[in-house]
Amino acid sequence: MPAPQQEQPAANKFLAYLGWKKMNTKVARQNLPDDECAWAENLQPLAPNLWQSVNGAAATLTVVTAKTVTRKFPANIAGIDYDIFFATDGSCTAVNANSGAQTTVAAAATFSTTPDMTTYASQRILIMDPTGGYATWDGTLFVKGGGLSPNINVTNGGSGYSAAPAVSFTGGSGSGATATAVMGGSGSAQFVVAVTLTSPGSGYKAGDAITVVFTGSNTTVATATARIWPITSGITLDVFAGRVWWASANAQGNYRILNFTGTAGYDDTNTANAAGSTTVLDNDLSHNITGIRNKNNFLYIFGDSSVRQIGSITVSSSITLFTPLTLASDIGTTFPMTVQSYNRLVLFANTAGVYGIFGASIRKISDDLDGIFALADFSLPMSSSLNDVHSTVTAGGSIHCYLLLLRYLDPVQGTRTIICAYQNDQWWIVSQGNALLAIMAIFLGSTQQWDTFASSGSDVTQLLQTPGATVSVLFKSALSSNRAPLLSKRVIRAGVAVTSGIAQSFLLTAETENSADGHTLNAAALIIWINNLGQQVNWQNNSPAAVTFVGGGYRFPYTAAQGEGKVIGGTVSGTVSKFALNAMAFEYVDAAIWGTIP
Amino acid sequence: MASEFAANVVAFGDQPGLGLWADGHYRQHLRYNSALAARTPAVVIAPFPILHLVGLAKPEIVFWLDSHEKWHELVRPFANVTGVDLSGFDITKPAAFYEWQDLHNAEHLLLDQAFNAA
Repeated sequence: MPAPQQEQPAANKFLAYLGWKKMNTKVARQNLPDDECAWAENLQPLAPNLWQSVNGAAATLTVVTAKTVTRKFPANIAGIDYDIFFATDGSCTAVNANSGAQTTVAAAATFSTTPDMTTYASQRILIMDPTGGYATWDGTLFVKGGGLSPNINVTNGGSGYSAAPAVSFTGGSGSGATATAVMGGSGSAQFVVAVTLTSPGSGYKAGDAITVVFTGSNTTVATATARIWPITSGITLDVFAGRVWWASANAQGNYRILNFTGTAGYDDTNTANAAGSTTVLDNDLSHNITGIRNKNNFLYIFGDSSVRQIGSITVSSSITLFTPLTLASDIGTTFPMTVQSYNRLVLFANTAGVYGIFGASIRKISDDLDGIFALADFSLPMSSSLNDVHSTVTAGGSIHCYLLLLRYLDPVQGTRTIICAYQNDQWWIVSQGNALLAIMAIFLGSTQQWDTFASSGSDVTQLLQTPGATVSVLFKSALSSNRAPLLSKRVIRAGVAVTSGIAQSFLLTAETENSADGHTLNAAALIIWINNLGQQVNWQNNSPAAVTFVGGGYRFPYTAAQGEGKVIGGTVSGTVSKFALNAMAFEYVDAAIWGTIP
Repeated sequence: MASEFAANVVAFGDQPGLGLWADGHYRQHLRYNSALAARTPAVVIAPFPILHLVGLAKPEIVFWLDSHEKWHELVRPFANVTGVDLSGFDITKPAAFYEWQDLHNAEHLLLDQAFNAA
């Protein structure tokens, strides 16, 4: 018991952040509970006490010279995975997602800056665009309105051919279409099994009747039917129930007409084959259909302020029947590139946040991102991806994530692009390029996993791919009063529990509402070699210079720190790899009750 | 074309599964209505508001169960099907949820056959 008048030593107290349930940007740091963090960038939550650095971006796969990306889509054609790269100049380039090899699909001035695309049966891509109209590419041949369709149907293979007959087309108002015959049989008993269009020609018009002519010695001449490629335009499309569905404009220029092809393929607009259209008259489609997406066994029709859904379709007397359900009359999106299927949900984003469609029920799932959406610049259209994110410190495993790219008006770092990652009802941030323009997901056949390809302009770069690459991490805890909001607190020491695969350093900033005190800490341990006599062994290289061995593992580096305030927290930052944040702790003493009024 | 109704996509607490189940289930009830509307004379039953089941508060779930039961009660006589009161279960509890699911699925199998809507 101290004698009277003797100064009482202040009792040291401790504040520990031992686990974080989630990142929450909705409220200020001092308003967060201790088990939520304010920011977690390039640190993926694997457990409340394990936030682990992600893989870095791979080296640029290729550069589409002199182009700037506007939209990207995945495609698989005949076993090859592509990054389909639409550019601001209206061109389209197919980039082999494994090799980076480029193929020009369409020249500049073909498309607008908002084309939509889907893949048909791993055979071809289908493109719908307000400017370029409906078009297709099969890995070799590009066809658009005015040309013949590659869907040529051999109705009689003929007989007695000893070589492939020449194929030509007559009729119609166009010209220049060419094709070759694919033969079956052998010797002088060959027959035509297919016709491959080698040039679609141009100048053909709707309603043109085309005759396919086979020229060559035969016993029975082959016959085939050809038709012109549909001349139509629209704003969005997808393939559902074997049909192509697209939205086109009405006379007022609003994209309210839902069209669908018939039973004879992606180019069948014949109403006798159950092709057709319907106009959405309901007033809860405020302006336009903005996206058509086939996800989870349903066709979703997104409007700018509503969402509809079509289930199974039937055909009765050459009429296609289906039942559209309105899922929401007040929630929609103008960002069709944000729509993804994710763990049986359909996710999409608008300027208010990210929403999940649970069957037919739409719920906002991004309340924790409200602080980010409040500072988002939507002049860059949001885009999305799926990614199986692999951990870099612990071995094995991956977590399936939804990624949303947006431009963020960062109050500290300035305007930059960030990617909001969603997994298991948690959000965190990926940052692998401050000026990304578009991202998209490919399920790569070579890896059998979801990977993300991004572009900042002309580049094609795979994100979250390289385990050894360094990434910039930024983690902000809450600012906690430690259940004593009246007491001002004086920080004495600060430390961070980390697990590191390599020797590296990082910055810990001890913070109060009044101060920020940064210190470099080492996430490393010196390895000391001891021989069998118990003596320390020192190593030299051939220079000779002393060689030290430093290893990673679990560490709890700490430092003397300063700062005074009613709330205490910390920020961990640095450029690291194979790094995990486990906990954060502060030692402090109580200062004045009520403190000083600023 | 198979219907979207899949009884086995939902376990208790599985929100995505419950959403898909509710979606397909609602569409199945619409199929029954279509089958009845195609009869001579036509039987017209207005759809009940049972599309959304995810994220409902308990009073809303009670309303959902009541609406759903009414729809079943209207349909049963035309299919010569009898059934228990499906509104008398607290499906916010696992045991009652699974018991309700079993009874409900059994009735839907009979309705599917009666209306040729499998």
